[in-house]
Amino acid sequence: MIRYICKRLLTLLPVLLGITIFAFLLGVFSAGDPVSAKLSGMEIEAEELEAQKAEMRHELGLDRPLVVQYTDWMGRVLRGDLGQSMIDRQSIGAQFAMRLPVTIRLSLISILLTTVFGIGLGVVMGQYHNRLPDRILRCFCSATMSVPSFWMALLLIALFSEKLHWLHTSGYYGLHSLIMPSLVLALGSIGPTARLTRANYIKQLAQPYVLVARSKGLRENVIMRGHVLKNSLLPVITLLGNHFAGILGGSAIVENIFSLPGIGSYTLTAIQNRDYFVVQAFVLYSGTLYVVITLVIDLLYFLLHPKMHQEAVGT
Amino acid sequence: MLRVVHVSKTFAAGPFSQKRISAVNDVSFHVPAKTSFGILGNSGCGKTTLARMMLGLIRPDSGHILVDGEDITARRSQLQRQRRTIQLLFQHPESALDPHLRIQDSLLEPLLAHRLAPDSETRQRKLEQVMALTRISTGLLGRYPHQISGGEAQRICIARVLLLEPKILVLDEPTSMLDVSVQAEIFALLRSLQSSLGLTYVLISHDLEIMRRFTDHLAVMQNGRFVEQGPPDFLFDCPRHPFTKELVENERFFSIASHRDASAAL
Repeated sequence: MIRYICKRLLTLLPVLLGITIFAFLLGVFSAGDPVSAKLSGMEIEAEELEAQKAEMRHELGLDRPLVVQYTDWMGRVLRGDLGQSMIDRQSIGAQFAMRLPVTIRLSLISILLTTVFGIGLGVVMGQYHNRLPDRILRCFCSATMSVPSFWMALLLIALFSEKLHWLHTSGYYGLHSLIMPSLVLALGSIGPTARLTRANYIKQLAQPYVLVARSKGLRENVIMRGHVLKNSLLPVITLLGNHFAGILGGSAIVENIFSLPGIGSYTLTAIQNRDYFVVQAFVLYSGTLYVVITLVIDLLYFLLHPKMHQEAVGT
Repeated sequence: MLRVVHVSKTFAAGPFSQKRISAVNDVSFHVPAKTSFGILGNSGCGKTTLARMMLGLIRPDSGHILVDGEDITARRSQLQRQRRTIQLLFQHPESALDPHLRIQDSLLEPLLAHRLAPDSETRQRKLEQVMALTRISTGLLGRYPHQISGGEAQRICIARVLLLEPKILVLDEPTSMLDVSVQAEIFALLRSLQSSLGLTYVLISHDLEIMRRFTDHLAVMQNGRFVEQGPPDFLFDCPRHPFTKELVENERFFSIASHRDASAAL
């Protein structure tokens, strides 16, 4: 087990290095000049503007060779310093630390809803395969999957805020402010989770060991919980993991619609302002997050799937 | 021991379930205790549906199935009582075992489900008994299904079935996925278990040679019906129904061809 974890961690190092290079270059080569963006609103003479731009580039270290900029940036990142925003000069690390709890809470509530309802509905669909409950729930899943999240958000706002006056339209006033955003995020992923659970459940139901378990006289709920469900859920773990990483990486649209002070809305504002130090930090954060969550999924597979365990030990 | 009386089964088919396909059509037979009854037929002729009805996994549309004198199609309670009496041995031994369970847990599960061994000491004793009977080494107990061979998996499936102390075993092509030497080993084991435990077998197969060697009485099935019944030697030497004749001729053709191939290879 420890050998397997060490091996996986070693393979992550080049991936993480690749992410840092990609994050750095993305900022450098992205369309638009951050210095021009910063000075665009000011009324300055053309000659003076060029001088100010050059001065600002020098001040920000953007006139140095790329390799120097990268190593300097990497050195600071390794020390935990993500730099400062070009726009408001605030520490990016401090902004992330302030906004991350909101995004984490949003992700946790959303993943909880997705897991409970996605797997639950998938099991019901699998159990009533091709019968009325399955058909109704399949339509529900298709509907939730095909409605864009911003439209779903507007519908929920219209219902819960405008009509029923139960929840705030936007802003963050505590956990209840996360009900609608997490519902919007969960509704988009309940469909795929339920459909994948259903497909695996039906596949497992057709397996000979289920038939044999029935012929042995095992109770139906023992067969379903102890055998079918357990064997159906492995691929669903991957899907849930990716979904979790996706939301944790910042759900820019949903956070923006509900004016939540999370990572997603912060990054969206940074992209609009061409604040590329923030964008760099975000790419680094979300890339690393995906890599770490993939590692956790791999370890879960390792623990839950005996075949993988043997392959890992064999290698 | 096992009596099947005018059993029929149809399934819905077509995009709107508007058609009915007859899988088993008015089948009757009787299997006396401690004998082997064979059901021979091509793929899709209804053999497996018939087997599943005998095991109570599917309800027949009409007819009765009597196990040890009790009609398992009449009431669910009677089926539950006879669950242990009639057991199944499947053609895919590896996939008949839950991939996430160790062999020991797979073996003990039916014992626990039927409360046949109240304490761990009794469970262990029963386990050791069937392992000795089926010649399974203790080293396999801690493994998972993908870590054992097909022959070992089939012996474990036999052991698991024996733990329920059944009287009838339905053998649904139990060696079709195994190589010839392992096939012979499994059939030798089944033979010895029959004589030592007094088991009754219903063997389903499309292999004429296995049927000839293993069964006392044979029924030939085509399109859901039994077209001919009798002792295997008699059926193969003097087939009367055109389908049986075709099966026997095909078998002869392939055995001559394989003999010729073997000679050419030598």
